[in-house]
Amino acid sequence: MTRKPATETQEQQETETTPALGFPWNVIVWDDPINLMSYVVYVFQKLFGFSVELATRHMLEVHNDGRSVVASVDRERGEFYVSRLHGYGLQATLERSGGQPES
Amino acid sequence: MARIKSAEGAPAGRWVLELPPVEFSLVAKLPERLAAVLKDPDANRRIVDRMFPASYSDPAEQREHRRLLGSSLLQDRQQMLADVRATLASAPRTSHGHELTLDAASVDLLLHFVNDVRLLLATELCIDKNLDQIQVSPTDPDAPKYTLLVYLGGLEALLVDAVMTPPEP
Repeated sequence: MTRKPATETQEQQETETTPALGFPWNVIVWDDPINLMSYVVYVFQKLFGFSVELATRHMLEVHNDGRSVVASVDRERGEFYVSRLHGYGLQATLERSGGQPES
Repeated sequence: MARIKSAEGAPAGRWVLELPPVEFSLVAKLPERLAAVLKDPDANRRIVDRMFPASYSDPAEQREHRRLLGSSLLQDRQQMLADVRATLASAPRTSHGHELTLDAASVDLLLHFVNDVRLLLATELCIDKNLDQIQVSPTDPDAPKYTLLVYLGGLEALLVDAVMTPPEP
């Protein structure tokens, strides 16, 4: 991701879409050299209702580790999230989470 | 340079984006560029694949997913372009250029649009590393594209900052 100056942002409430055990599909966001870091934080807050801290943590995980699991949900909801992430221009995929049966 | 400020006398969550004439003229031409790609996806396969990446790594699952989606992905993007054109067309001309009065939804719309154009340019330029690691000579034939890419990054950052900064009390 491309860096830009840090900004103060509005803190938002975390939601139930925080990655959790027990759901069979992971929504994964992959690193990309074009999308701005602040833009990725904005998208995570907008789509998942993350606080700025959680959104930033996932953004940095994408940037540093190449990927981040941003939600663990049922397949239908996962496809919805991936589609929205693609709409924002982020690289995202849906994968079965390890060891979890498909519902 | 473009600048954005809170709309005076309006409730929180509304902004005015001021675009000088040169910048407005530049931005107003970009929907056509994106529309040309969407109009002929087969001739612009690399860009289209970047704008509509696979949702599944498994080819069979991906094929089925795309079959179910049909042409809705392209239609969504075309609707976005129509909305952007309408937003730009509604911007009154002032002594400084053009002013776009925006709410959170229209900022989000412009962010979708600007980011799509950045992806288009980056794909055309085959960029595979962070922009701050790339040095481009002014005489490089692709220099104008890089300049546009950097400009749009600045515009995108401006919009993100505005929408994520809490309003002053």
